[in-house]
Amino acid sequence: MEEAPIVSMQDVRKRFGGLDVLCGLDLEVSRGQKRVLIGPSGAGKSTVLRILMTLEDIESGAIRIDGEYLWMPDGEGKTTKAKGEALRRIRGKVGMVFQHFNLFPHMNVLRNVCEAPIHVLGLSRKSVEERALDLLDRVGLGDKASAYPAHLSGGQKQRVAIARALVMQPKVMLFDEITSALDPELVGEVLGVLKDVALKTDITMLIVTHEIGFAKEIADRVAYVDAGRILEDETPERLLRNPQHERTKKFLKTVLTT
Amino acid sequence: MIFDWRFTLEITPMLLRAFLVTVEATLVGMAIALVAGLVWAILRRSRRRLLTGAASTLIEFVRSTPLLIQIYFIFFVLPEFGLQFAPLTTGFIALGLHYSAYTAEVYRAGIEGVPKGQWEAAVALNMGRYRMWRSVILPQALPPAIPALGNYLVAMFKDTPMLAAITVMELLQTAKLIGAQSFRYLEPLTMTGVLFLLVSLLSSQFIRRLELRFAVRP
Amino acid sequence: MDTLELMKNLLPGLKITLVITLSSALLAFVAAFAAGLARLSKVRLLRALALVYIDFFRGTSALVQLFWAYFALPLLGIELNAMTVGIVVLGLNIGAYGAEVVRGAVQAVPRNQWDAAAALNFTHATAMRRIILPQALVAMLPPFGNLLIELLKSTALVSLITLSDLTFEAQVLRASTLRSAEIFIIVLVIYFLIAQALNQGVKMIEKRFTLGRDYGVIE
Ligand SMILES: Nc1ncnc2c1ncn2[C@@H]1O[C@H](COP(=O)(O)OP(=O)(O)OP(=O)(O)O)[C@@H](O)[C@H]1O
Ligand SMILES: [Mg+2]
Repeated sequence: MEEAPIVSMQDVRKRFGGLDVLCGLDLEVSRGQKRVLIGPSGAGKSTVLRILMTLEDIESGAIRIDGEYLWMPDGEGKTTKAKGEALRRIRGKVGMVFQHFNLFPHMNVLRNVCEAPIHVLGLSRKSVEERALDLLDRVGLGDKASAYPAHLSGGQKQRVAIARALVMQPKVMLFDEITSALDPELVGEVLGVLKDVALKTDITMLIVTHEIGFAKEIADRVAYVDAGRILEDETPERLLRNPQHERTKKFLKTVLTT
Repeated sequence: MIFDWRFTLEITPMLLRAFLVTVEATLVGMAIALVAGLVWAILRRSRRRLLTGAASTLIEFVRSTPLLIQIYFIFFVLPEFGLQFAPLTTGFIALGLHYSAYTAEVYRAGIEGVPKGQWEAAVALNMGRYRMWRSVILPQALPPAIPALGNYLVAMFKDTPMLAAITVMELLQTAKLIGAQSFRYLEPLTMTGVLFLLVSLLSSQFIRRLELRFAVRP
Repeated sequence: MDTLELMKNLLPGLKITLVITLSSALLAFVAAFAAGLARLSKVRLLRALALVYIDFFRGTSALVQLFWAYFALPLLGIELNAMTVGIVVLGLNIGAYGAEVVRGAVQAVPRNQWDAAAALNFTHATAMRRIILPQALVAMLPPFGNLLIELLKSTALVSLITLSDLTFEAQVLRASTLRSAEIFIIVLVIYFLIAQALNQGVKMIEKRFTLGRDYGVIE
């Protein structure tokens, strides 16, 4: 029997004001999968990740994370969000790295990484700091533990943000265009770290990116999102070599030529 | 000469002692305003519509009605409901609550100045409400608010003479009593004005420095 | 005495409160512009005088100023009735705060507006009146609105120099009827309603001024 998917979204609808942003989106991600989402601007990719991070509410549909309902439909078109303890538990399984890092500017790098495990998970400061320093080493910032975010480059900030998310040991990690706010020469170092995480851990990863080459390297599957729906969902080779839809072809053409 | 310097010297110790009461009222009042204002500001961010609505209306009401009547209200009305306070305590409460409506606005501006991404990062790290405010929001919202809070401290200081209306022996009430007893109002009232002027001018210098200090965030 | 009768007894006080608010608002408006513009004058003496006025009235408490003008000033040979003292002191007091608003708003008008006016050969005074002030005025209105509310609130202080305004009448009524809760709640609500009305008034003026304009909205 096949294992249940760790993330499952069924017929998810989301509106912003009068705008239908997700129009019955279905997505299943199996455990440990590295799934890349691509698609034109405004397609709803960020919205998918933000919904999974519990940052946005939805109009209808079902969402389960690791078997638990984040959004549970009542069968009559309404859906309700998990509350209280359940919500916190689900949230604890998910981590996110943002396009603009969102590091805490008033904390140094080490505290940025340690604050949540100490105060949210209730772990001892000593063990957390040890692990944090390990992680910082792994992302190549072992010597920056006491620096403040304002004194880091964009690439360094993003690597701290990755360490900060990793230290919470989430089962699912969400990455929303984590290199698109970076100067071109800094993109490589962040993708390097991301690749390292992808290859060396069994964390399930959902990655929104415009770096098609990178997607090809690490993705198990690539989903093409357009106008609030998943139009194609394939292995990277097949999607890139042989896209089925006109729109996918057009999109790939524009990103591959630029 | 009209202005009697010897009389002035004579009453100075008395005025200085009364000045201490003025300072005490300001400091205790401000402590209350700082805490209560923060509570209002956080209540206003609550997700319960009723709560935010009630907090906003209350703040608006307190801000747009005279402090003097609020003082009377606490002094004359609350005892009818079994809440009786000494005049000075009444003063602390009235000043504190009145100015909490202003500090709430200051905090609000500070809180709204924290970028949305910071709240989202806190959620993504699974922080609860308390931890989010404590670790992420307030440490960023409070420092920029300090100069404005300083301005309200000075404003409150200048409002303490109203406590004379409920017989608190602060600076103005003392000056008035001296005047009534000696039939010389000029010296005590002038001295009172001078003391207020000195403190206000010095504090506004200090606040200007705070503004420079907190103008640029790291 | 029923509630309606209580309110009736407060009416004369309400009238005085309104008269003082409006008269001192007028004075404050004039004082604010005079002192605010004097602060920006090229004439040093004017600047200094304005600064002394502003610092003096902002630095000493409004109530102390009222007491001083009412109790101490007669000893210097200047005797004014309570009404005059109330209007003049409160007007000058709020005017001092208003002067800072005027100064700030004028200074916030971009430099290039002055340059443009100079290029059109405007004199300094004409440029100020025709080009700069109209833009600055839009930025002044919201803080002026706040000051107007502060002024309304501070009129309650005149009850302490024997003027029978709304607050004074409330105190008299309290002493004679002992129904303090009712009286003070009524009075608080009245002040609140006046404040709301003033707010709306200022907002309307603001709308008039900003209609179709994309300038002068200085944070
Ligand atoms: N808070 C919001 N309020 C209103 N509309 C929003 C909001 N957030 C997103 N949208 C709209 O929802 C649509 C999908 O946005 P989303 O950010 O998910 O797109 P995206 O696929 O991530 O695009 P991009 O590649 O530009 O990041 C867009 O049209 C966007 O304008
Ligand atoms: Mg996006």
